[in-house]
Formats: sequence, structure tokens, C-alpha cells
Amino acid sequence: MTAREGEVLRGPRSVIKRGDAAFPPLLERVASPPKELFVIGCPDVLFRPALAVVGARKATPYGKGCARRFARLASLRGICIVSGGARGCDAEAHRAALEAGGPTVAFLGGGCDRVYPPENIALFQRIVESGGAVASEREWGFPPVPYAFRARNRLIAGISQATLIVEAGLPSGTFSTADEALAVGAEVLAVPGSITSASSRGANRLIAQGATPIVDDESFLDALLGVYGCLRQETADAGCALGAGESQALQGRRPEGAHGGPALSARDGGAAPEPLLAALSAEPIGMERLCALAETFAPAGEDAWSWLSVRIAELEATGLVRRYPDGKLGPAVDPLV
Amino acid sequence: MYGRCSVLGATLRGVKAVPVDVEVAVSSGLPGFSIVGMADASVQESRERVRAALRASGFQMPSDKIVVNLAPSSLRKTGSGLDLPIAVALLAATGQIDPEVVKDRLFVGELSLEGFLRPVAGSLAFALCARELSCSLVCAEGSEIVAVDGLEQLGLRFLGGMRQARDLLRIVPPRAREAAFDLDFRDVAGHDVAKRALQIAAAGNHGVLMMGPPGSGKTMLASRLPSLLPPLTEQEKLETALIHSVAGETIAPILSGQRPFRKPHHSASLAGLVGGGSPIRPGEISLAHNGVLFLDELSEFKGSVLQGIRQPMETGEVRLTRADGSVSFPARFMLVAASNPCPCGHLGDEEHECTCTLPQIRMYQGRIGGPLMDRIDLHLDVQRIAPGEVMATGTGTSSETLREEVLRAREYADWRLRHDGAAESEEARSNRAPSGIVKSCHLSANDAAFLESAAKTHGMSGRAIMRTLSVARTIADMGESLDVGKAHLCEALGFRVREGVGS
Repeated sequence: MTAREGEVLRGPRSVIKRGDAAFPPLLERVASPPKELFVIGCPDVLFRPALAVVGARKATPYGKGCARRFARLASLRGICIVSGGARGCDAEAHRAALEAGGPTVAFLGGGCDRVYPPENIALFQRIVESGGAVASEREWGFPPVPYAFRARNRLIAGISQATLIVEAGLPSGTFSTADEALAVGAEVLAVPGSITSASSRGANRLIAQGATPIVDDESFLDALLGVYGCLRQETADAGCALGAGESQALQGRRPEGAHGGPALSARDGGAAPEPLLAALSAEPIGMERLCALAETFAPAGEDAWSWLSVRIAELEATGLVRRYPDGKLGPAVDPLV
Repeated sequence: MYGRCSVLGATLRGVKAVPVDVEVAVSSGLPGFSIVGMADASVQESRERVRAALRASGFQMPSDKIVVNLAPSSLRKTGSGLDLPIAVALLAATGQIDPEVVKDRLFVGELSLEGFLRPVAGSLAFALCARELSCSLVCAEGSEIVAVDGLEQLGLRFLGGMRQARDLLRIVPPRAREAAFDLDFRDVAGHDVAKRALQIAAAGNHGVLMMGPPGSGKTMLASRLPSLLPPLTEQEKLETALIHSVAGETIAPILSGQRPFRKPHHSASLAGLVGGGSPIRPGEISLAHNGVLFLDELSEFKGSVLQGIRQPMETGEVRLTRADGSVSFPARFMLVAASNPCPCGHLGDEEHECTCTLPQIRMYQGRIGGPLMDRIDLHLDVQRIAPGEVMATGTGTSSETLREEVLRAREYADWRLRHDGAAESEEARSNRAPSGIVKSCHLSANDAAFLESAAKTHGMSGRAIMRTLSVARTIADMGESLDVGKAHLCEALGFRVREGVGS
């Protein structure tokens, strides 16, 4: 997993000075624009319309699933996905863009020869090889010191027309990226979470403060339309590459057996989801509490405990619900994998 | 005061007391007192105690050449229990007491310098040894006495009592009281899922791993597990009490039918856990024989130590081999382990933020249990319960109610095994043999397919599937059902050892 000693990224390297023609103009608007940019990979991607997808490093499966889902949707529409290459949500966003075949840019805190986190070096190499870029305002060998990461957040927010917050606690680095986006006047989008979940408190607060809530695929596509002007119809073109089930899902119909995210399927408008699934979609719940809930959810005449075990085993088997490392059960928002 | 005499004593080897002939010869020569016959330091020291005790009790210590021979001389003798037979043999040899009173009696006891007797560890082992030799046992009055059929046990308070040795006081063992558990599940509020899991484990003798943040009640739950198990049978009582007696631990709770609950600290050494030392002492796994071994903070135990208890768990006994021979201790116990979910312990805790990174959590969970993981069938996540529920203590389901179901399930399983014509072997009893498990489950084609798909989703290994089936079989036994149905299977799946834990 960890990078071997001395392993560095391979690929074309360039140093872009401020004032060069190759210097991305959007970065001129950030507070104290960088004097130089150190880039491995294709520097042209820095000029493409970009969406920053950022979220917590210690992400829940919910946050990671959302990062993956929306990064992919945007990437399919030709939008460059910008993120920080960190563990958790960031890495998921990069991966989703790579899988969708779109360009993606990782802004590092340290220099490009001191990648952090080290276990993501293979991911960075893939980013470079697939026509994306790994960039930093620091010298190649600059160490990954904490203050550098805060500083690079302004670049991530600055170079993107919009910033999507998939999961943010309060306070957090992710939240500071949203502040940077507001400072440069970029659009801020946020994915809401349960109000009881600490890992979504920041994102929810942003929505209360006026960020655009992303409550389903449709609202996300609307936001993209507003910011980038991509038409909704483009979905169909991009959708050619998708599986049949997936493009159906994108058009708002839910195919049988598709692993649709339960929390995000409100637009289905069909039968209300069963209460157990709805409860689990809202937040992760431990077995003891589920057991109490089952008393009210179980159909009359059935033993609540065996009804609960059967339902959970079935939901787990179909991939709608997942057991987290802390033993709680919660939504497996992982629809587009 | 010349003469010679031979008296019966005994020394411990493992959980057995081996008879030792204590021969004393008092003859002319340079005055002295020597002990021969592979006596270790503790026995050599008894010379001083015997000399002082004899004088203090008003007897005379002969000023001649005294030789004590312990036979068989090839056996290494240890322990202060030989003080009394040496002193008595000396008294009989010099005619200070009637040589007739030492006949057909086995003497065990340590002497104080004032001539009083002190009890020694292993009184039960000595009692069994005396019964085998059909003699009566003479020991210190304060010894822990167990009623042993066909054995006369005599108590001696001080060495001077040997003057009237013909009418030594018979000691009557206290009647064992019925098992009364101090720890009852009634005191545990909430935790219904955990109780259910422990009930299943108790019914099927499954190993349990409990995972949860500190203070969530793992230890509280585990320490009450013995109250779910059926009371010890007479045979089991004797086996278990014997080990505890040899180790010098109190045996009264065992005699009342309570199963032992052992909770070694995670710094325990291999010798402390499986037994060892010189003289060889039973380890924690043997002290947990017929009871529960609770390994708290499983991930903190050394891998080599856990590896050491793996083999005894399979065979139900531990055989310790030393240069002077091997000793075996029984070690059939139920394993309960507990662990934090992450290095800081607070993952999944509603009240504390966890400060660990995902790779840290993964590495930590992967390290849990190590070589012991394939002995663990049930995984239980213990969550901190709400403060309001904590206050409701005393209202939980009581151990008695839970135990009744356990007993019924065990009875049903016995009946089912006879019904299926399966061999009444220990292996079949614990649902271990793979072919046996699959056969005994009578899964329908649909359920088998469901298990297969679940196994695929969760990436379960073959062994994990077998463990799930064996737990499902126990759950079906609790429902007194001959076939394992979907509900049983699903419940077992819910208690499966999660992927990524311990691998």
C-alpha cells in the first residue's frame, strides 16, 4: 500500500510562472495567487471547466458514495474534477472521474515529489497517465506540512467554477474550502446528510447559509446546467457508454434490481420505501436500536427479532445496506460502481 | 532413641498427587538431619520446620544421625506438604508416638515453627490419592475439604495432637450450597441483542468476540456468561475443583456448581496462560476448564501466547512436556474475547469522537485475535446504551429465564443428534465437523442459494460459511426445529465475524 522509498511520479513536468500564458486565469482571483505552479501531467487541463469535489478524509460510506456518484455524473459531461487527492472523499472523486474517462486534477499540499498520502501514489500516477494533472504551488520536494494543505484549498476552490461539498464536519478542512469558494465568488453545492450525523454537520450548515442543496441527481444536473451550461440532453450522448440500467436510472426511472441509492431515490415517486430501509438510509443505526425499531416496523404477528434478522440479511445481500466497521448498519450509497 | 519407620505422604505432579513413602532411620553416627530422594529446596527446608515444630510441641528431637529417604527416589518431590509425614515418621521411629497410628493413613500438611499445621494447595488431589490407596487422609484442619466417597478425612490442628492420634477428629466437609450467582443478567439493562448472542453462544458452545467502545459493557456481559451455562455436573465439579485445588485457589464456588470465569490480563505470559513453571502449575486455560475464559483487549495479547492456546482448544487438554516427563491438564472451556473497535477505542461511540484514520482502524481490526479467530463463531458489536436505560438496572431479562432456554436448546440438540444417528462424540456435540454441520442443517434449496449469494456478497471464506451454519444450527436448536430455516440462517449471518476482522 505505502509508496516505496524514493518512488516518484513519472510524467512530463512543467513549471508555470504567474504571468505566463499557460497560467490558469482563474487562479488570478484567489487571495495571494501562487508565483509558480509545479505540474506533472498535462497543464492544459487547468484551463478546462472544473468542478471541485471535496469531502472529509475520514469519510463514511455515505460521503464516499456521494463523491463517487456526483464526480462521475459531472465527469461524463466533460467537466474536469478537481480535488485534493486526500484519503476518503477526495480519492473517491478522482477515481470516479478516471473510471468515467474524464480528466481530473489533484492539488497537493506538499511538493509533487512528496505525495501525501503515500498510499495514493498509484492513484496519482493513473491521473497523470490518463491526461489529468497533479499540481502544487510548492517546490517539487516540499514536505507535506499541515499549513500547506490549508493553503492549497484556495487553489482547489479558485480554479473551479463550482465546489461540491459531499461531506464535511464542523469545523473541518473541507469547510474551509467552501469558504475559499465563497471568497472567489464560485458556486457552492452541498450534499445534505442526517442532522444527527456529525460528519454532515458542515454540509448542512452550508445549505442553511445558502449553498445549493444537492438532493438527488436531478438537482445536481440542474446545478451543472446553471454553472457550466451543459444541457440535460447531453446525458443521453454520454449515456451511450453506460449500461442500460444506468442510463435508465439517469432518466429518473428506477430499473428492477438496480442498486439505487435509497436516500436519493425520493424522485421515484413510487411506493414509499419500507420504514426499516428509510430509517437506515437516514443514518447508521446500531443493532440494539434497530431491535427497538423492529418492534414497531415488524408486520403484526411476526416475531420482531427474526423479522429484523431476515430483512437485514436480505438488504445486505442486495447491497442496499452495509455493515460499517463500528458494527452499525447504514446506507451503502454506491450506486454507480 | 534408635529406630526406623515409614509413613505415607504425597507430592503433586500436574493435577495428580503421587504417593511418596517417607522412610526415617535414626541411627548412631555424627548427629545430623539429612533428606535424600530428589527433594527440592522446599522439602530440604522442612528440616528446620520439623526440628522447631517438634520441640515446640513438647517432643524430643533426637541428637543422633537422622536420614529421611523419600521413595520412589526417581521422582522429584516438591512442596511443604511433606513436613507432616516427615515429622510423624520421626516421632514413630523414635517411639514418641504409637507406630500403629501411622498405618493406613496418608499425611499431608505444612508445619509452622510453633507446631501448628497449615493447609497446603491440592488437598482434593491428596484426597483422591488417599482414596485410591484406600487409606484415610490426615491433613490440616483448615484445609478446604471436599466430600469424597469412601474416604475418611481426619483433621489435625497441631503436631502435639499426634499424642492422641488414635482418636483424631473426623472432619465433615461442609455441604455444598446450591449455585447462587452474584452476577445476574437482570442487572444489565438494555443490551438485548448482546444477551441473545451470548445465549446462542452458551447453547452451542460457540466462541464469541465482542467489539465495542470502552465502557459499553463488554466485561459486564461476559462476566455474567457463566450464569447462562448449565450447573456443573458432579464429574465436572470434581475435575474443575481438582485443578483449582492444585493451583491453590478457592474451590467453594465450584463445589456449589458455578462454572469458573477466568479473566487473565493481556500481559499474561505463555506459561501463565497454558501452564508451566517448576513445579508445573495449571494455567488460566485449565483453570477455566468447564467454564469461561475471557480474554479482554484481545488485540493486546501477544500473538505467540494466543498461538499457544490454539492447540489446547482443539484437543481439550494441554500437555506440557519437560525434561523430567510430561504432565497434562484438562482445558475445555468456552472462549469469550473482547476488543475495542479501533486504537483509540471510540469508533461508533456516540459520546466521543474517534480520532483514528481508516487505515489505522483496518490494521487494528485485522490484527485482532490472530491465530484464535477460527475458534470464534460469533461476532457481537456492543454499543454504549443510553444513560436513561442504565438507570433501569434490575429490570433486564434474568439469567434464569435465559438459562432455561439454553438448557432446552442443549437438550434438544442432544435429542437431535440421537435422532440423526450421529455419533455422540464431542466433535458432533460442538457442531464442528464440516460434513456433519451441512447434513444436520437440512437446508432447503432456496435457503442454500441464499446463503451462497450472501457469502459471495460478503466475501466469506469456506470456514466462515461453516461457522455461520454451525451458529444457525444452534439457533434452530433454540427454536426446537429439526431444519435450519431462513430466519435461523439470517440471524446467524447477522452475528458473523465481519470481513476484515482478524485477517
